[in-house]
Amino acid sequence: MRIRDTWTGRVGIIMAVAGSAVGLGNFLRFPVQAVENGGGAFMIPYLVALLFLAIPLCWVEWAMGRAAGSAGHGSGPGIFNFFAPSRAARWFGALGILIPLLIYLYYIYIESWCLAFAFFALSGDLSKAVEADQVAGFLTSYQGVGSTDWFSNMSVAFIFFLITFAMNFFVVYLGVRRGIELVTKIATPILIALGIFIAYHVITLGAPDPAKPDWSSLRGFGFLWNPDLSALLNAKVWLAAAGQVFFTASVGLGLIITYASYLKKNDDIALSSLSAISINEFLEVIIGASIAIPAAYIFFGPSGAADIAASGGFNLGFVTMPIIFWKMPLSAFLAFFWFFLLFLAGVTSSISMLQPAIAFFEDELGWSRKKSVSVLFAFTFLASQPAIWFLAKGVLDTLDFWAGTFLVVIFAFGEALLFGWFFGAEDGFKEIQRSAAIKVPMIFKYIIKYVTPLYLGVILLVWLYQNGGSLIPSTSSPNFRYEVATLVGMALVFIILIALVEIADRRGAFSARAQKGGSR
Amino acid sequence: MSVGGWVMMTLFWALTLGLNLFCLYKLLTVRPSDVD
Repeated sequence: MRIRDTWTGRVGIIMAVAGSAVGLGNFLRFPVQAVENGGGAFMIPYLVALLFLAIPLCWVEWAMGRAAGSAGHGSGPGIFNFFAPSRAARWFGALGILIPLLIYLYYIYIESWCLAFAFFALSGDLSKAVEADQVAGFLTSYQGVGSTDWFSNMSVAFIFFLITFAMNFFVVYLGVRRGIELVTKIATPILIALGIFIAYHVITLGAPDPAKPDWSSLRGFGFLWNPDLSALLNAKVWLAAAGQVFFTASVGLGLIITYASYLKKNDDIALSSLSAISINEFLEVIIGASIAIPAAYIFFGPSGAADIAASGGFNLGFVTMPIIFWKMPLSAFLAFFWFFLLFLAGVTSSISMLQPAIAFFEDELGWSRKKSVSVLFAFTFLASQPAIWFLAKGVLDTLDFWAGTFLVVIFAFGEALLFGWFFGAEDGFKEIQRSAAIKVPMIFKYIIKYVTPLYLGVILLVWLYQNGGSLIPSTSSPNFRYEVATLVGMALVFIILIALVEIADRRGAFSARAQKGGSR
Repeated sequence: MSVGGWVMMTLFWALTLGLNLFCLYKLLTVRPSDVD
């Protein structure tokens, strides 16, 4: 009988889950959201969402994963079936494999840009782009969208994609303990150290231009933190805060349940989950808020920083930040550290996206790790090509809109209902408390049962009201054919997954829980 | 930075650091045998 991998200790899984949660959003999305939604006032709905949405949902996912993992199930279909044995639960649980896989298909490409930009920062090529339009040209020609003296085709971008892709698969091939745990134990502390180092540089900049004494780091922090309390009356601000908290915690993706399935039966989850969240919050509220936006204010002033924030986090990270670094001492190293920081944040997230599928292949289909990784390698390599070659045709955006935004809220809503109502809040709360290293306040039993599903339901309804029309591609869109093809491709992947779930069911994977439990 | 800005930044930095220190303290002091 095959013995499932386990974490060596709680530091390993805390670093892995924190690494999975910390991503580009901590450093790019969060500060932009704060500036656009009332500054310091944004943090009030943010805190509410953290308490009522992220923390309870994380506990739910950790508890679901640990319980089902001890019976030999580490992916959505097996975990959902464990709590509510039925075909509907298994099919719905397949979303816990589909979502991370679809996100991986484009996330890996963006991750490779970070590696490439880190390389070009050190080589000196990036520093030749000194104005915003030049950096933007550097980026778009690198992506193959245009042509410049730097890049005339996508060959360099593809080489960096191949390197990044191979690195990710090498890590997951080594397994949970020797691959993911080892890498995240090294990468996450480096990521924290790099973040502190860059933030320290921004904080200590003062007012570098004597002609503009008002463009100082202190005022830059004020630009982000000065509260506009009237924003609290705006429902959009509360929704934006809930969305930010939801996405930063990496809930609803099927990742935490899979990672938690490699815990031992009596490992703590209450403290480990809270610790992973606290690391993520440190890298968001303190480090994430202290780099990009204050730096943009120092070098571009209040109106410039407002324009940069309005252009979005992605532009801020790849176009504005290099220009800012060129104005600072040790510019090449700072730019390298910045993009390497984003790359590490990306790697620790992307490896977690592969694990649910591997867990499904190993646990439910009985495949070896070599076979699981090989099949997944071949599939993701082929399926990620459209996001690379048809970037300008909206393939990446369609994948992100569906998998990265819509389906995660659906999946999290299903998890909350399953745990709080089908499994039952009473038993669920006991499961969270079992072997806990901290006492979870009793109020969370009611929060998990009533508040969290209601919170998610409201987010889902408002999201559908605001964006529901965009779920169906518009015939007037110039990329209509590409968007439809992407949707058809996503549906095909889901159908294949459902077929595999059925095959696993026929071979008795979902009825042999008790026997598998003996392997722990 | 306004007084409100200072208050919000100090409050949320303190909350975040406090949560991290609490978790670190518990991780260092609560041994597995204490919880079984």
